[in-house]
Amino acid sequence: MLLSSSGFLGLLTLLGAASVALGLEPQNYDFSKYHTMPEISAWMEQTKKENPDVVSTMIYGKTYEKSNITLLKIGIKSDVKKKAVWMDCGIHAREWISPAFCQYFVKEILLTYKTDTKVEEMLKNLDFYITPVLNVDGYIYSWKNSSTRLWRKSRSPGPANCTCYGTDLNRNFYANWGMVGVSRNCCSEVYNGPRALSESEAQAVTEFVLQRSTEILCFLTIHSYGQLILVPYGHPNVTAPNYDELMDVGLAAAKAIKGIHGMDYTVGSSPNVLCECFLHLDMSVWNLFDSILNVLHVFPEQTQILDPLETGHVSLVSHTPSLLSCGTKANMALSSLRIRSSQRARRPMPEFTPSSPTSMTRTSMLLPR
Amino acid sequence: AHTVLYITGLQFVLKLTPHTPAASPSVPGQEDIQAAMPVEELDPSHYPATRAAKVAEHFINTRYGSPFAWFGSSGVKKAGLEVRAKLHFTLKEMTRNQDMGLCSAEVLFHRADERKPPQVQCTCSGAFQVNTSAEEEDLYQRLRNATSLLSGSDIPNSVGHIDPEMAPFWHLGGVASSFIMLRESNESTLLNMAHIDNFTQMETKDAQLMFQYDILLHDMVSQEILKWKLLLSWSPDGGVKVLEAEWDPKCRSCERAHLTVTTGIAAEQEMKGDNNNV
Repeated sequence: MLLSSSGFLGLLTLLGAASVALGLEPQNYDFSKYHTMPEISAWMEQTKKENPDVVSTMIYGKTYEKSNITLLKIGIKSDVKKKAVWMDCGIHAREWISPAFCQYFVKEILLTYKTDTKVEEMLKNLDFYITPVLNVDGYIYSWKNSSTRLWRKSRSPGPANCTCYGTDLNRNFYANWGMVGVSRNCCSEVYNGPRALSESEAQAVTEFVLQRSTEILCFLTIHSYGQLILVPYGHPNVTAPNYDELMDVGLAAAKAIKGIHGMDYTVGSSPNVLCECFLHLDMSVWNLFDSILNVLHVFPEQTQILDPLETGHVSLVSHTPSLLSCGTKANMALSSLRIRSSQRARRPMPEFTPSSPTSMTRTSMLLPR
Repeated sequence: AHTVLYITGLQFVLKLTPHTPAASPSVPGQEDIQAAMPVEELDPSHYPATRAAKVAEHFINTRYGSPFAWFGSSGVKKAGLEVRAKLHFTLKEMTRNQDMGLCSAEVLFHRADERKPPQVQCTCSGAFQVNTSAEEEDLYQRLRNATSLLSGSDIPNSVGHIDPEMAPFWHLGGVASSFIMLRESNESTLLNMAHIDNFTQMETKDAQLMFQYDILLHDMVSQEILKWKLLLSWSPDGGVKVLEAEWDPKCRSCERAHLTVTTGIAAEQEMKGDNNNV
């Protein structure tokens, strides 16, 4: 493990040297460490400054505590209207490796698009909307001290008769809200809020994505822990119309990871593989617009095999030196997905009108191959 | 008062404090008698199989775990569901990343009465018992001969770091937690140890070393963090034993937060009565 980490770092150094030679000045940001929210915000600004022709930032909402929710829009400018990929990280505060992955991913594509034709093609065909930290309030709170480290939810106060804080953002979306996998107990880690979209963070994502319903091709949300690639839908009784295709993509991703890192990622829909607990983002996205192809939860691994300390069991708190290897693994998963999305993007797509939220049986969203 | 729990032959002593109701003994052989059902093949990657494997994992740790031997399932190969789950899984010793071969287990969840802990039978092929006697003896002697009592906290820390010196106590906490997690498991849980808030070595007169642990467990299904205080003993000869265990709910009014998750199976996942173990 230590050997492969140093080998990988060696490769990174080479790439770093190459990018310096090309006239790029990479900021000295350590992607193998966890970063505070102010550090991440500064990094986003700096990334935009260093790559003005491919990176812009967008503030698309506010958290309960009135912090900005910001994404990076990454793509090579084009005269024609482009399709896009959505990626959000850090919807659950304690899953620190998720924002770490988003940062790593941004770094990777910016580092390689000028030298790797596949990445260049991808950025030509697609725009990426990447939110490194969605649950800003929760993330900041989880950095306070060791007793707050495992915070998960938002930081909005509970209802009047409740002393506990926070709503699980991933149970708050308007898609079969409150049906399964939630708790009405406001102290629960999966409390779904007083009503659907009660949380400004969930609202922000919903509005942004709804406004771009014909543009967004692929929706990714990154979580931890567990070596899992989850495909839609999160509801036990609903199968995605393109389930076979989604499984193909997921399995290809898992194969790529296995081939390079020797790690086994399990692929399946969350009601099968994880729990009958109905992950919201899947369903809400499906309801919101027709043209969605892929909704994948990618769970970067935790301290299992690659942890030099051999601590073994899966852990909520991922060991820092594993961050890089974790990033490359999730990256691997995404690269097969990226190629597929990129191919999709180039095919002409019929225009769809967004379906009504109650319509659940339409199959017209199957796109021509 | 002590309550003695039998779990398929393994005996340990559990003293529960007043506000945590006493667990009822689970008599071996007594199980839900349901109409004979054909064996339903389970997909090894689906959660019924992985949850049952997790229970088997906890069972193995209660029998064979030590500060240098901490076990986990590294992949369910085959699973079937009858009244009980039948599993074949590969076993790994986690502290060394060592493959231990194939195990087959039967995990019986008492569907009719979730207060009853699952019953496990398990056999593993190959050289199953890890030879850790040298390291265990070494640690044991070091602690017995030390001039001060050992303690530690925040394991792992916020960035996932565990001091190499603390690693055996992380494993020890994991093994001890397995006693609790075995007892607390049901078809709607997937329990792992998440964090050791702190541990303190206690004075003892006898050969056993004794530790007080404040541990956080994580249930993947409800996502709850469960705080447990454990008093445990360990020696190379005596193995790991849990002497006392107490659950510390995060607040008075949210004592049963983790029992209220709606699931596809049990729509009536209401708050259970006071007799529930948690």
